[in-house]
Amino acid sequence: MREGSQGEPGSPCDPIKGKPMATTTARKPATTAGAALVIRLGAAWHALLAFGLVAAAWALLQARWVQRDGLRLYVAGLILLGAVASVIALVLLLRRDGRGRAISLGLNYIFGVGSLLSLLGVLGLYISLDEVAASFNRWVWLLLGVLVGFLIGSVGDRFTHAPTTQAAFHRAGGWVMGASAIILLLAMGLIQGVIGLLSGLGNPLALVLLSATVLFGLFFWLMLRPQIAVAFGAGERDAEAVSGFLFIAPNLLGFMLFFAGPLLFSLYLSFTNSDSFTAEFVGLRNYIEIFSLQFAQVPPGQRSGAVLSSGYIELVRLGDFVVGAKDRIFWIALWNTIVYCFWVTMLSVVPALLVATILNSKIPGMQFFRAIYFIPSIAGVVGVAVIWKWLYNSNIGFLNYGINQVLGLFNRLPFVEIAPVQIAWLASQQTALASIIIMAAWQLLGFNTILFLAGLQGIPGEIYEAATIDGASNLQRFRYMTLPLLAPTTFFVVTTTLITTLQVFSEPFVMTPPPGGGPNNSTMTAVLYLYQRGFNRFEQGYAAAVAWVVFLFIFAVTLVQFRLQRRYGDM
Amino acid sequence: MQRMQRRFSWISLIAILTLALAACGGGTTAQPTTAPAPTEASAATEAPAPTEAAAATEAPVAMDEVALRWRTRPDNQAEIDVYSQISSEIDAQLDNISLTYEPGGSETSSYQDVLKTELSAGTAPDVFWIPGTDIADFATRGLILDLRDLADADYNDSDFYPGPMFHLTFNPETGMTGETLWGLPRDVSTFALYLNNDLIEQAGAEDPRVLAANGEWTWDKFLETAIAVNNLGGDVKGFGMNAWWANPGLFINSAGGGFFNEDRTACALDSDASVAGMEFASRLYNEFGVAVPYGEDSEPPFLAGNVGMFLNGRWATPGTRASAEFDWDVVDVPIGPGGARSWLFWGAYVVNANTAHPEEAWQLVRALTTAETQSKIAELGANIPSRVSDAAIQAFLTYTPPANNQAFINNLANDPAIEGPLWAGSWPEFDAATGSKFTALLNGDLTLEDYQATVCEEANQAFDQ
Repeated sequence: MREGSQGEPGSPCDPIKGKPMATTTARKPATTAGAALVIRLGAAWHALLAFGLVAAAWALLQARWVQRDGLRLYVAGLILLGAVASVIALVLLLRRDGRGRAISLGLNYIFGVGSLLSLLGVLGLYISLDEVAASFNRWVWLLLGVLVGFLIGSVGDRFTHAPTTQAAFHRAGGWVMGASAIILLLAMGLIQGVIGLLSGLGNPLALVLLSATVLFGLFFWLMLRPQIAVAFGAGERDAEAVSGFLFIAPNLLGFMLFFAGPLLFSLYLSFTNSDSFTAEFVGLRNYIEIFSLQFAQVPPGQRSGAVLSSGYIELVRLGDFVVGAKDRIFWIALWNTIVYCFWVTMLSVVPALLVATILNSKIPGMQFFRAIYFIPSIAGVVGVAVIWKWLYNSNIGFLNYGINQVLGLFNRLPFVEIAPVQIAWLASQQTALASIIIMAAWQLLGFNTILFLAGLQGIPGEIYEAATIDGASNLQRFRYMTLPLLAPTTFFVVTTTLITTLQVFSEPFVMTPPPGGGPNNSTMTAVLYLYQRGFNRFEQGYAAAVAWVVFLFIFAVTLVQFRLQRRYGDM
Repeated sequence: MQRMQRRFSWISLIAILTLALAACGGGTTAQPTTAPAPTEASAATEAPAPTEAAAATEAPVAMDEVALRWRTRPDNQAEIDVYSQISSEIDAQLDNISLTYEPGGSETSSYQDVLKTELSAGTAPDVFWIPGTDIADFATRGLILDLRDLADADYNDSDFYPGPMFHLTFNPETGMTGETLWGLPRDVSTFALYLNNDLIEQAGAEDPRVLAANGEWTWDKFLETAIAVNNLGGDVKGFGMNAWWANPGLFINSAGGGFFNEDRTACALDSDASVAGMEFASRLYNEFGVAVPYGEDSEPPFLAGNVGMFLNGRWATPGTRASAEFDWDVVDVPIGPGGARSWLFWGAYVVNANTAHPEEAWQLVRALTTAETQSKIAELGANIPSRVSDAAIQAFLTYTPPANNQAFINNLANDPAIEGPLWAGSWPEFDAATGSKFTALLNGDLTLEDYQATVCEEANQAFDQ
């Protein structure tokens, strides 16, 4: 039974331990004078915080030393959001609304952690971590003392018949362990650290951050007190919610800071002309340029440039009609990505199913072959791409060498004379994408095989036995039993392969000459293109817009797949 | 059990806190005479060196010393060693300056990308090398410092080759040269044809060096030699060049054409002269089939002894010295209808616009471009000193093999086309747009007529509207 479940539903309780409070009820929360004072102080604190945040946002917007306009606006927006939340907390706290306490807890937690992390940064902790790690490596042998202390304590366990001796050993072991740990810390520079900390606190910014950390921590702690929870009529579910949020808070903060935050920032960037140094809001201009297409009729013998508007370049010609695009390369990249995705999925999923079916048989040596097939999956993409690049080399590559050796065998036959070939696998527009597809399919095949193998091994053997008794052939069992029963696995394999292949970057980046995407854009993919726009040309606003288009495309493909799975999953 | 858990939690907390405290002290690895980076230092000097090699060359910073980080792009470990050595020597020479050398990535595309990203994040080095094509991009974005006001009385622009200095002193606001100083050239280089003399002799072709000495090393003779070597059969190819703008550009220049119009404000690749150059290059690939497919790295087959003539710059010399097991040398680039116009490649040391120590950074740039320093680097064989000096050239000629170092000097003196930035446009955009057209033409995916009609279509979008 859970600790908190002892109380009646809805009864106020200790927000941490979840134990019911004896003297209060949810319907009529009693407020002590102390709690009322804390709530009023909390409200005042939020008023002060809101004012401070507005002032900080204003100062940031005025700051000339912050060169990155986009980042400045983004951070100022977040600060203002905090100010609004603080005002809401203030109002709700005064109304004794439980939501005010929740917002207050959240704000104090977030800003408290933020202040603490900033303080550590100002004190130089992050840039010193490498040195601490190096120092730890140098002095780690001192931890042998901890081991010795542990052994001494363990020896004491033998004296179960003499409690005094046993306790003495345990105590001695503890002292040795503690002394070793302290010596290690002293060797690593604990004293210098304390001196550094104290001198660092002489920095006014550090003092401000320290004060902020203490104040945020204090108000967080006050709002967490049982008396305050009672004053807001917090029940068991509230307590559990607070505890739950506290548990996931580190992960949640990390998600907000390193995933959701940059994601939202990239969305903002997509509406700017940011080059990462300056940014001006341009509205939908980037998206309009990406999607600008023009259809026109071209009289025979005339070039498309004569009929397309300025800024449009021929993308594709269909008979007498020409399609022009403002950003021709984006559409080429998108098309290449779709072609790549289709073929890699086909070539890595269908053969994987066949290979898995063979590997699932009880033939001697299958374990070895399973390992062999899986090896390409654990190799790094870049390493594999470099190796394949040399295999594909038209002059000194093994692939052409092998082909010519085979042709040489044919040439030994009478009346046969086939000239040696020198296929420019990666240098020809006709073969470059296909070459990369073959390599990628080869690498993905093993992983997909293992997934199918796991799915096959999950199918009960009795079903096959029953089918065999009923006279089903091998092909019929595969078609009518294996395939339907593998549907969930197939869905997973196809979905993950699609998502992976739609994000292809490393293979064309490594295998084609810098900056990748050649020859003649035949291996340019969507992610490679946005990388080039973002980092070669430093058009990060435009690159962000391309990234969002690619994201929405992948999202739509996955969504369609989910729908299809739901519709046909039971067939 | 619960007590144990609580005790363990407390011990863990104390351990973390004490380790954090130790970190506040900056660890104990620092020497007693060291001090943290100056508090007024900008972000440019705050970040720790990112590579092991950098850490290995990092010198302790005395209390009154200014810490500077600098970076260049070496091609191999030998160059890293030389630059590290030079860093240590300059560190000893310059009073109150402590240097940390950071070798940059060797991939052509990633060096500038990483650098710009670091500049954006405020963690770039104080002084760094960039290729000549990137000077405009960095200068107009305000990423590098105009050093003109810092230039000493004993400094003179004319000490260096005028081609690079035209761009390094160009003022984009007035359109005049000689008004600014974006940096100093680290070195210069030109193209030459690396020869596999064994293959050429085996093919019975005339020695290109003799032809060049007699002024007969023309496109026709070049083609004859390539065909003769190619006819040896098997994997052997007559000619090879890598897929980047300068290689097709050599044929364009030698045909009398060029990438840009006279004031560098529009694409000129569709001019008849430029197209004539590409027509010749295209015939090497598509009509005669004597070249390693364009888009494939020609250096490995050349070093493997499978290519008769390989077009590359001076930077290919150390690799050829180390790997070629055949008789090799270099020769001037062949004479086309417009002459034998090689490129003059260059790159420059520039100063981060956000450095906290511009004067010390300028001192470092000066020290890195002295005749003595350049001579040490040139000895490696990778480049030619950027100072206009007979002594420097005479010294360069002694750095053999190749025996015919004079070919580089000839190409340098023979009105080379200057590798230059686009002050009125985006070089990366121009490069991307034209690169795909070069590839399509040389691989036979585009006719010459279509090439001429479309090559400037996209490329012109790279210029400011």
